[in-house]
Amino acid sequence: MQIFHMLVRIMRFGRDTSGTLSTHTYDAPGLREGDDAVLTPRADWERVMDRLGTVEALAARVRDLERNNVTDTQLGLYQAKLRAELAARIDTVTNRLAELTHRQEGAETRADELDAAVSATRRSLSELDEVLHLMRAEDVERQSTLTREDFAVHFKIRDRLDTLYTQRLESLISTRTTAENPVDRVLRRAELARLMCLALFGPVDGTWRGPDLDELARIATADDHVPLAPDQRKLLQRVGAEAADLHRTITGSGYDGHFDFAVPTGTPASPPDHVLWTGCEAGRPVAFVVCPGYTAHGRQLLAPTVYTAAVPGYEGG
Amino acid sequence: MPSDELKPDEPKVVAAIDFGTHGTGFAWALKTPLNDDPETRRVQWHSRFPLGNLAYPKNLTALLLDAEGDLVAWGYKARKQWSDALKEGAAEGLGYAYAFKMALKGGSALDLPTVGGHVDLSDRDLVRKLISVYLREIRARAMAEIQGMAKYTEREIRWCVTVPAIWDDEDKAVMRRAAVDAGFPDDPERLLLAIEPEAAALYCYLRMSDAAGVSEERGRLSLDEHGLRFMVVDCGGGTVDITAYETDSAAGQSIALREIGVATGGRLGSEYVNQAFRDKTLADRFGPAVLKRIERDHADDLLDLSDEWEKAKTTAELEWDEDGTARVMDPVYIKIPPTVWNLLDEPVRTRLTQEAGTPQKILVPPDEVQALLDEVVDGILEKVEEQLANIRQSSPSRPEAETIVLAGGFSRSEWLRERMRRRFGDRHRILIPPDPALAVLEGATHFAYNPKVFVSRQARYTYGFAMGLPFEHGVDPATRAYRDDDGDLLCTGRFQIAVRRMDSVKVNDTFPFQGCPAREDQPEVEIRLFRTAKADPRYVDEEGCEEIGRMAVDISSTIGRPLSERPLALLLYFGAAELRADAFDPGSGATTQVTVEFDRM
Repeated sequence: MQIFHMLVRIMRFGRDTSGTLSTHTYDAPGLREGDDAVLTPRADWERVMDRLGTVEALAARVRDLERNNVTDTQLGLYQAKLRAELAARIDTVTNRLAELTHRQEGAETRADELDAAVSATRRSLSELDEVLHLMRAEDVERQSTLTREDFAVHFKIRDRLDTLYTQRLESLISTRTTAENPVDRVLRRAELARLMCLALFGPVDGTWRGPDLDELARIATADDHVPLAPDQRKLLQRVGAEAADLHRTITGSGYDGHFDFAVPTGTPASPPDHVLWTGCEAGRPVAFVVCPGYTAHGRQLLAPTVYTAAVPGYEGG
Repeated sequence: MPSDELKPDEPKVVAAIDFGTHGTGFAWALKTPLNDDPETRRVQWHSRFPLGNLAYPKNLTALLLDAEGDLVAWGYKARKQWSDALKEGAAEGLGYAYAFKMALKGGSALDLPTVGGHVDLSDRDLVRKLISVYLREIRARAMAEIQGMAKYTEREIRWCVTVPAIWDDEDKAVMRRAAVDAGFPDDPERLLLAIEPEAAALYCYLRMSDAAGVSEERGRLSLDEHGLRFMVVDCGGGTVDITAYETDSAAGQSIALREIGVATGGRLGSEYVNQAFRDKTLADRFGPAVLKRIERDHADDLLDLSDEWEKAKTTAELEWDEDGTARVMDPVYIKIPPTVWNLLDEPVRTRLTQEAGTPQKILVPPDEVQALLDEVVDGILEKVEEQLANIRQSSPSRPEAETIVLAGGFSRSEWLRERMRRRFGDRHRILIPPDPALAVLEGATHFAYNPKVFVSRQARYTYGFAMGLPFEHGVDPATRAYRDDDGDLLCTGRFQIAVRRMDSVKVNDTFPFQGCPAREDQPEVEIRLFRTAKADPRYVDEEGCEEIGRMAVDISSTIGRPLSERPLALLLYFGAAELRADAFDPGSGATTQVTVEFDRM
């Protein structure tokens, strides 16, 4: 469009110029010789001569003008030819411009269409991306192997169980083993710990309904045959309360949690699948499970503690 | 604080790495409309580090390298393989590094055995390399989980790495560079740095915490309340870091924190309790000679003993006397590995068996457990007291009651909590998040989810850059005078201040400046960034001023133009845990983004 306007301006300028170049014509006076042959005083003659000279100058000028007149005519022809050529060219350019303008408009329309298509595709991709994202998010939600904030409670349960097995029960069984003074102290401690664990987290089939605190007390006191010191009685109560609280916490956690006593007898003890009872060694056959493993939402958080059949390296106690 | 609407170029996953002195962990969350509510946001954290403690969400910050400095193993595996190599006499050519993070600031990280073999933590280049190697491994593990579970790609993740409060901008820049070398994105929008105590505070703001002291009611840390002063006591494995803040309501919907005083702390991490257990309890039970033999020939068994103690030391329960004095009521039983048991003399075995009531066990009675814990607890209480005094000094007219947030793995210790309650509970409120070991990690994940949650950060230094400013006769020395091509008399090396020390700076706030070269034929301009603890420095080379970075800006496209037609704009961005500088040349119409290079390390 910019180019087009420029050409229009040039064209108008051409017309105006032709206007300023219009031809001017002059009429030449006729001279006849006979009319000049009269006697006149010298002064008059000289005046006549002066006039004659003026006339000749005028005649020469007329001739010049007549020559110019011819040139102007040629110029006029040339101008007309030029004007025609210019007009023809302008027509061509105008046509070309019109065509280009048309093509440009077409291209712009197409570009607009493509822009719209790209935007639509982008929108569509964005929507698909979002859908895909939400689907992946749902997939993540379904994953059971991830550790989420609300699952963290089971790690705390695992810690509490570990403390119960390795610390509190150790203290609690001491009274009975001291009273019984068994030959194989390690084995006896393992048996007592197993019985206590069964009372707290049994039965072995995994259908745990909470701790049996009376049974725990019967084991700790050998059916009231072994009296407990005050701090041991307190410990017994604390262990019972801890097991009851663990039951409440597990059932209220929103995830299933269960205890696992099921390690077939004779299975080679193999950490980290098994925790070895004091004095037991890896590779030896499992005699029995002392403390159950703990599994929450299908994920084993604590391996069962096992007692192995032979205890090499242990030299009595 | 809802996040922006989901956009294609927005991250779809945010992942945080809590890079600790003792342990390192990662957590991540999906950026979904459902997760936009931080109350119900689902954060996943990794709990399956090989040989790690299941209930502890971190791997050991340890590396084992070969003679060429290439990685052999990391985390607990590195420690295990190092102890195995020592036991088998195969440690030649190996290098072991633990707790190397704090060596970045120079000096020894901990006064514990942290290195072995050819590793030398006084070499800062090596420390940076170690950090990078470790971050590469933890990033790979995080990527494996995120991609394995949800098929997200690298470019869809925004990362956040935690840094201690005591680190300055230069340390943070080194950390960022180490992270980029480790494969993290070289893009400040996709790699954030979170200040550890701020992350812990954010976690306590979003989650209900247990409370002790003047108020026993469970609650949150009210970061949205104006003028709340609080202190984060981060009791980690290696160090204890204590940082005090005050909230500022000027931030509107977001949270603005102003650091009060100076972050303090010390080598009071729970590893020192373990060290005391080895040096005192084991030496007492086995005898120093046998202990030395175990250290030399059975390092793996010594590790097992330490791990047993590590698990048991925070489980002891407390009871209170009639006068309200608490004491540890449970002994701790430690299983003795068969190899170690066989090394002991018969009298020693008999004694240990009598004490524990069973063979192959050590019994640590309650008072000894208490004494071992107090090896660091006493120091922690003193540090907290110091920081409280600092806070009081900063605004003496304010009421005394402060809020103390206990974070870090050692904060799980009932004994530490009780000692804190007894010492400070009558005057202050003590908040303990649901799982203090996760506070920094989870908080950093929430920060990565919505970095706009924090809008302000106080400038620790005065920041600026070198510039020629009009010469002031009688003030500036003649040696600094020079004329530019416009004939103006200028003073060279003036400190052009961008942000003053202690100024509060909004996150991503822009500080624009304009200047021009001194010569018409100058092809480039070098911009040198400086900092100083002074509030009003005049020259960049005066005492206390330190160059922290420089960058060259190409202005060759406007060579030959008058100086007035060669303007250069400089934009400084502060607040997102780092300092960034952008320069562009409006004279040529071309925009050039320049990253500041901290090249002094």
